[in-house]
Amino acid sequence: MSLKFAPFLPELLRSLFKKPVTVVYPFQKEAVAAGFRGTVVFDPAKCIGCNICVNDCPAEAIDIIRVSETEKKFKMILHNDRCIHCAQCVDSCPTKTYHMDLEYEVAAFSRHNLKIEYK
Amino acid sequence: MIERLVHWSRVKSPWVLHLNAGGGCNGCDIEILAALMPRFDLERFGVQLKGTPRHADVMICTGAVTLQNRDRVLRVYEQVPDPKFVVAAGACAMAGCVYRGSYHTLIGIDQLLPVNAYVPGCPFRPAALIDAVVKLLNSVK
Amino acid sequence: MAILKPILYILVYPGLIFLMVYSTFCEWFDRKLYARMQNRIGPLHTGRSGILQPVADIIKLFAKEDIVPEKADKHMFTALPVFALAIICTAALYLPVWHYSEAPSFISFPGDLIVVAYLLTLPTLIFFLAGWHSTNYFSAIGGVRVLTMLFGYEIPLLLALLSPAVLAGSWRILEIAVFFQNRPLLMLVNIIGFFIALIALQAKLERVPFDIPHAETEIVGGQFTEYSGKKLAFFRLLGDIEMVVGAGLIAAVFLGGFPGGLLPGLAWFIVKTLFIVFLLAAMRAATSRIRIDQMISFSWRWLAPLGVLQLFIVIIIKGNMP
Repeated sequence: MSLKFAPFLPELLRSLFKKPVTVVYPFQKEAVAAGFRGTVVFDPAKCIGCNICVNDCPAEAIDIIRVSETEKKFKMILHNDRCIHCAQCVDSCPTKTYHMDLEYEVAAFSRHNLKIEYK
Repeated sequence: MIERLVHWSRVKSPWVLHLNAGGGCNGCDIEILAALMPRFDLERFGVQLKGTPRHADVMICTGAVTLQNRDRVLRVYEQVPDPKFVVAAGACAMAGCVYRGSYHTLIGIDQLLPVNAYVPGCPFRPAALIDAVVKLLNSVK
Repeated sequence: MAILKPILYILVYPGLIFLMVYSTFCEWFDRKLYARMQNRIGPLHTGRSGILQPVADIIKLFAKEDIVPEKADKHMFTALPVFALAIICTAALYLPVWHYSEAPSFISFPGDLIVVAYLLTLPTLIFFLAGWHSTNYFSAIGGVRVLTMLFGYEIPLLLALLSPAVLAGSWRILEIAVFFQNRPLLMLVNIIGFFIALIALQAKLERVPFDIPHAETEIVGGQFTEYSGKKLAFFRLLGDIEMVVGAGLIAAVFLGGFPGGLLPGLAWFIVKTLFIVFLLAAMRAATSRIRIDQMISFSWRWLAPLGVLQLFIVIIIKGNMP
């Protein structure tokens, strides 16, 4: 049994006098990386109602509802509690209706507050 | 006076029990550990990770609740002494995520327990969990 | 006037009030050092740079629901934490802090070193009983591990405490301290014993390399699995006070005590105990948990022989001393 006694001791004593690496989070926020997939954003003007996103979504998080009988107008309900942020909808939409923003501080006290409606 | 002191102490020292409810990929568990590590350091708020439900104040649940685990989750919840809070972290614990409609999971842990805060994400960022904890602590009356 | 001093001694310094305030400060110091050694910040938002964090923990535990398991032995389960706290506070009274040369404290007598060592052993037994009376598998395993560890570290600790007593020719903590104050160079003789006593104290406090009895990743909470609310608060306070008393004992026996009246003595007490707490925190940060069999074989293969060696060195030097 070859036990080296306390191999981290110099490192510990060094970090005792260093500035800690901790990000003091709610007061000092780190920039989010560029490709980060945050919340889904929907642009109702571009939607053609093909329902590809509804079929492709693995988490059943998207509902597309036709608003008026005569015009091609749609609203989208995003169930953010089910969304797994995979960006499949961004990839499959033929008219580039979707994009992802960098928002991640979306904690809520009720699941109904997590539902987002775009119209 | 005493009530204010007790309220202050409750807000300042939330001890955390981390419960994986059965289903899920363990991604959220790893993000919880990342939140406890030096980079984000939840101990700044007095959070300590406890092994037993008897010591805990806040129960962080991850993963979808499987039917086999339903009674165990309830039992662990009942073992936590009052006052207690439940945080459903990640899409699986909130709404079943990709396991929705599966024959052996519940759609969300709020079918079973009263949940105080939801943390969206699959998995959430560690910062999102800290955000939820801070929001929850600020809202405690 | 004669009655006033014992009352002050029991209630204020080094009795209950001082112990509770200073032990919470020590816990904060320990946690902050531990965090800084891991490159973290540690408690920050409770009071000024988190100094009130242990106080907040204890107040919160006192205000929480108190659960007694249905199958547990109610009387023992409730009485044990209070007993343990009382015992460890009694042990604190023997520390020679009010260092008046002729009458150091009203309960100091020849042989109080043995009494303090005995009183420091009793909480370990109480941990075992607490685990046993919880009637929980995890607590029972934790309690048995507590006793198994006791067989490992108790003999080396006694051997280590024996050598300065032999060198000073006294069993009284105060006389040992005075002996080393008069001959500071002789402190270097006991350097092996000092480190043995530190490691044994770490094992007695059940901190990280020896936190086998309440290993969170193996047996959920060890002997404290079923404890909640007030009783857990008593046990936490007990752990902190035990750290202060153990550090004070080692400082008094190995580092020459706390000379010079009331206020310089207090200053020396704080400096020396914080130094020992620093060493304990460094030990906690530098190591990881070992298995119970490794702990026992380590203490019998290394600590106990080194203690005997220390005793031999002390006896040889004592024989050649003018």
